[in-house]
Amino acid sequence: MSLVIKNMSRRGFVQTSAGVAGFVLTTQAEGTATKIMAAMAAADPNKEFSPNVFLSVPSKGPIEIVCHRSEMGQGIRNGIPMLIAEELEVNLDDVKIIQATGDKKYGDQNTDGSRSIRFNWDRLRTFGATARTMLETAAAQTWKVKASECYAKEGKVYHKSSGKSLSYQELALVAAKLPVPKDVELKKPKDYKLIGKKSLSVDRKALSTGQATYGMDVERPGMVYAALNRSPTIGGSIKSFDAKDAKKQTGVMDVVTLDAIPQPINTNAAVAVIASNSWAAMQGASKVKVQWQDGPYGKLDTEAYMKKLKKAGEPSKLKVAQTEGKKPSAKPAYTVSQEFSAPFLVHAPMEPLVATAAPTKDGGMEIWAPIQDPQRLRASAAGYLKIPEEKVTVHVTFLGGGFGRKSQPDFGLEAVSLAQKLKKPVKVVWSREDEIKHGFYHAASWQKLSADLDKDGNLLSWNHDTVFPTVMTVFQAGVEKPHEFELGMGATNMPYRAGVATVRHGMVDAPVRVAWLRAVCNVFHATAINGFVDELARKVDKDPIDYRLQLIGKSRKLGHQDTGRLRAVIERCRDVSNWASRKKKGAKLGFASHYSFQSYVAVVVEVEKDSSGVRVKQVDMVADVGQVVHPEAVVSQFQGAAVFGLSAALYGDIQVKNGAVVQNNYHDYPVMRIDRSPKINVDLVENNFPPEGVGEPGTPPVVPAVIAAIRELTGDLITELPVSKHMNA
Amino acid sequence: MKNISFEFNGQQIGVEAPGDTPLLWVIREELRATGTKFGCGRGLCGSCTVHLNGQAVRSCVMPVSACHQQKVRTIEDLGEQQGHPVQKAWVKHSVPQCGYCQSGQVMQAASLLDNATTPMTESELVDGMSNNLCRCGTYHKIKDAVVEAAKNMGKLK
Repeated sequence: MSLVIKNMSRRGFVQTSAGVAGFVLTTQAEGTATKIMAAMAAADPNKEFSPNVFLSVPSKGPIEIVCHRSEMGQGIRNGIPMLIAEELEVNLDDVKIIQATGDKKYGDQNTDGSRSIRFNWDRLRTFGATARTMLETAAAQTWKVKASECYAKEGKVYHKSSGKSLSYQELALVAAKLPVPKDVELKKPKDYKLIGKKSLSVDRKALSTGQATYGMDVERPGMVYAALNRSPTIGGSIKSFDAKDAKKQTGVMDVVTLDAIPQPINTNAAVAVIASNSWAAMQGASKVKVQWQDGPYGKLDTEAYMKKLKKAGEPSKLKVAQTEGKKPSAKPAYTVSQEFSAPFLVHAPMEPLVATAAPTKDGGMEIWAPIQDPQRLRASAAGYLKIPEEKVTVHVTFLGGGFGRKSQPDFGLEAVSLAQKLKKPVKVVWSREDEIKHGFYHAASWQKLSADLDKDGNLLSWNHDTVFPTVMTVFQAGVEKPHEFELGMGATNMPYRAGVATVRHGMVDAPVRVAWLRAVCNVFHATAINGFVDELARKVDKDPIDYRLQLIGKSRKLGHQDTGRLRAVIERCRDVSNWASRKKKGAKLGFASHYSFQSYVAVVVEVEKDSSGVRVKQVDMVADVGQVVHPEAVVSQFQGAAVFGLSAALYGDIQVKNGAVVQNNYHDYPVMRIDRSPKINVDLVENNFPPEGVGEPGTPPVVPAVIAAIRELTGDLITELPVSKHMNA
Repeated sequence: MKNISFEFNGQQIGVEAPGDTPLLWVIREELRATGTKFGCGRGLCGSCTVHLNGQAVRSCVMPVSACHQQKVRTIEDLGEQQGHPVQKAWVKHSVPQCGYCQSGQVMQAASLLDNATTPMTESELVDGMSNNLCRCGTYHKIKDAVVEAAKNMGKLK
């Protein structure tokens, strides 16, 4: 079978409907070097050398490198500058890192999809190398020697034979007048000084001493604070409200309404309480008495919705997304099927949502926000205000966690519409309850897998039915068909060989706002597929790792996926985790593997029982992410992804009853704490494939691996998440 | 409105605020010290941890009136000194990912170790940090850093 992988970007299309007409979400292209060169900032060649918008060498002072992606803990303020600095031949400690505002001149800035490095790998190194080459040429001209006699090192150009040198700053104004070379040579991996080398985050001190500015910390002159009273039921609208008590609250200045804005901005109606501080605004908001009119999902019940998903998974209602191969004529020795379901999840980043907007004198808007996608916020604000994008500036602060939630522009638009209404700077502060109860949720899902096996366990047929509300509803209301890229997150690119393999999808409405959460559909697809493969291995009495290797068979390419690389991480994880010997000693181990965001991950999880219930004792992860750019950040991302996956598996559950989200805060939407957090070993495969995804691919296989380990412990396969529904954890 | 005075990071200050205003918002929006973070508003996550008379407290549920004539210390003061072994260990291990919870983590760890009268085991240290959430999952590094700080302070059993 050869599966077809639609290797497209999540945002790779143009949205023209609803709300903001003609608003381009983003382009797939990162922008070619030529285009970026053409969009070059209006640098003054008498003051600085700036051959592209990402770097500037002034004649005096520190070299500046732009980070155009948002920092939310993944360490991108190291990774992006490192690509440029490596080729430019400067140390990261010696440069000033400038956080870019949202602007198309940088190419795509949407910090999601684990692609900041892989989409910028070639072009940013090229920009660095271009600048270095020009500085070498400038030195050669100054000394009247051949360029080949000059080389750059640590911010200076040296003349080989004489040993004399000039700093980049001294060369800047000469280089600024040189033509930009078309072809430049990139370093060979063996010559890397920064990429792949041990170094610590440039922000570690600021982040350990409370010095970083997050969205929550923004303050503007004359700013007021706003907290919103939001509909207790999904998508309610305001019938009437009484703000008498709210206005009695000390510090409350005003009470105004906010209208809902449809997709693709997608905000709900609310009553905003404006005050002189956040606390007064929140207290005031809780005291507004609002008569709400239920929306179409005003009586939503997720228990009933889960049944609806299953019903949408009945064979007559499913659509075939893909079918490959022909059913062998051999009679099956076994026929196995298994259903899985998983609930809605919410992001719960430590920093709740927050944004500040200030009208500018020229009729524009300036925005400060912890935003993953500053260009989308800029375009949304411009569309909403009916002004050109050039009049909107989006400043990207540090993000106190993102996990996909802060890709959405909704919270920014709340600030924008209030600032427009009040004609002054407004900061909108979400409470934790707002974040949990009014989120953009990870899709709930129902899946069924079925297979026919021969007596050795080989797959004669494989059928995967998957039903979930699509994230496309972020952009357009009413979409029921999942997008190909969602099915390509684990289902249509399933790595195992089968006589015939079919993927079918359901058609179902999104009753709540659904959007991306770390690894998106990969999480539930990896869970169901790995759980099912474990079930099959048991059927034919084979070790789950051996059985996976058998099903992968001979290496092949499935789109970008190389099943040989998957096989290699599986084998390596088996070895480094001491799978066989620990099993022999009675350790309760579970295994899973998954390919996502172009990276390959295998995981062994060990669980035990203690007085509080199931305890995850150890996690061993092996990852092939291609070239590792910043090892410290990559290891941290995988450790973090493991904790994130464990939180989802063990506890994650957003329920809606009578139209209202049941959960409120960290007490009833628990996430893993340090005393339940396991030892996590991360082993990275070293190779020189181009860098692949890092932030997300660690999460999906952790969920099925812990379920498999629990099965070893209890004998039962959990097919309905979270684990806490069935036992204490 | 009440007049409340307390020592804030070594300086005597006075604020006028409704007495039930949580200390967190006074620190952040009146005193403009934004290193202390708002995470949950209910004392569940620890992002807002500060020291009241040397003990870690959750400033999001601590009425400012309760701080009258007391001593309040925040991450900015611990950071000013650059000398606290906890902070040094945090920087050395490069603990933070997004960093939003880390002011609270550092203040919790500093209080835990400053107030330990006898050496602590690793598991006691972990228990002492268990009410501070980190959604990025930096627990591995938090544990390494707090253990190292304890060792450097002669408080590791």
